[in-house]
Amino acid sequence: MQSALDKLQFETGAYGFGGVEKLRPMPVFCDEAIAFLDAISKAIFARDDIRAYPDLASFGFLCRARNLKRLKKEYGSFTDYRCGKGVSLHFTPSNIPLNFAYSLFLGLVTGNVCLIRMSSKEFPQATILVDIIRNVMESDAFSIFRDRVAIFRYQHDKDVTDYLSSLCDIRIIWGSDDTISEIRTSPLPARSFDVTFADRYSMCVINAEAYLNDADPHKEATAFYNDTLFFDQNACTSPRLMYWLGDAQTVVQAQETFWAHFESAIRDRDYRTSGNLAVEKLLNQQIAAIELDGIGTGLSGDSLVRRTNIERIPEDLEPFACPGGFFLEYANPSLAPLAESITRKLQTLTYIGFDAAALFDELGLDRAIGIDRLVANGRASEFGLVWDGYDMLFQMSKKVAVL
Amino acid sequence: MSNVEKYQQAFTETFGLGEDQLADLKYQDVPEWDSVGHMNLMGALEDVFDIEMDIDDITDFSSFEHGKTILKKYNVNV
Repeated sequence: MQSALDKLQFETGAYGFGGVEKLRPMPVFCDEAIAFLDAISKAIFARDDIRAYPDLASFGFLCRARNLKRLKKEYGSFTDYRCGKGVSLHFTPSNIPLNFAYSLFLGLVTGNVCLIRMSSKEFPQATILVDIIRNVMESDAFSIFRDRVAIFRYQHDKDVTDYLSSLCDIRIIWGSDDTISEIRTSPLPARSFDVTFADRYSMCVINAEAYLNDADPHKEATAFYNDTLFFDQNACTSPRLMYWLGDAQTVVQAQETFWAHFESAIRDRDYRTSGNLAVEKLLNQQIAAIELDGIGTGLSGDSLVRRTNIERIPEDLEPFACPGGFFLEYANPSLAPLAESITRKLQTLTYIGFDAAALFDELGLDRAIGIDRLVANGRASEFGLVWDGYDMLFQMSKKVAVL
Repeated sequence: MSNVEKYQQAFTETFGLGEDQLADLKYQDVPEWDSVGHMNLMGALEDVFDIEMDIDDITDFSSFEHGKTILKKYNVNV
């Protein structure tokens, strides 16, 4: 086994794994974990170049002690008699630079030992963050975490995945679906289980009339930028399809206003897309034109962002999705076609110009097979302990029944 | 230090502004009050008033003036 483990490249200190299964879990939201995350938060905000990495700042903001204490308070007595499962093993994806850190966050607040496999893709903010985490772990105050946190990379290797899987109580796999299938070929101990974050997609629903009456259309467009192009539209939370509610004339008017503001948001941020995506987007636009009776346009006639008005919503949106600024648009005076197109794969619905509770009722989300997140435009990527329909506090911890 | 002074100081220290620049100050009026500056400001206010703010209030905190209304929810009178 040692030869297989030699393939691991550790981002935090070298880690032996021997005896890891004997480490005790900690209570959820325990003081040690809160202090550890708060130290990471402080180190993030102490950096002079923090403005270059707003996603790193967001993670730091999440990790501050006051936020964790507030979260703990929200769970109230649900945190009583509750501690981690034991060893959590995380396979994190390459599409979001700091996804590994959010997975670590979940493991720590729920009191688990965290073995984190990062993707091999390099991101500057990820490099900065692992350096910070390593430094915090090296300080004497947080020495207990040297046994409890290991962040590493390795090229796919079934022997290594088999071994690590044999150690864990809970395995967290962030998709793709192919990755999930592959990792599932490595067996888990009898009581252990997987929490999987599979391939999903997201949509945005806009009430055209309410949007036009909105006092700040530019703010909505900027918020939409943050949900989409900030991640190159690569996140599962980034809307792919925009559902415009309203009569044809109002929708056209709202679209004109929205996209003009979106275009200026893009220019403000000097967004660039890679050349091959430009070709892929054009190709997708033509496929949508043929299969969904789509009529395509681009912003300002360039290839940066491609919009396609479609006549019907496909049952599976995935074949029509493309990152880097590709939006399908569908307009209807009723929400009924949206309610009918909710599938298991529909993760996040962002909204503009609606009251969330009323929209929840109107779409019948109390009995819907899909949509795990109904969030205001601009908050699609906002991370919480409830994700993809799971409340991770409960998923990753055990409760002692005290009778 | 009075609450007003603490409140003003959070802004002047986070953004490097003078007190005379605060009265009409709104989010994104100055380069320092961008999204990252906003997080710094919220952290500073939480620390100085010993409160834990909800995400909705953090999002809603759009100006120097409006912030005072938000802090009232946490029994902080500025």
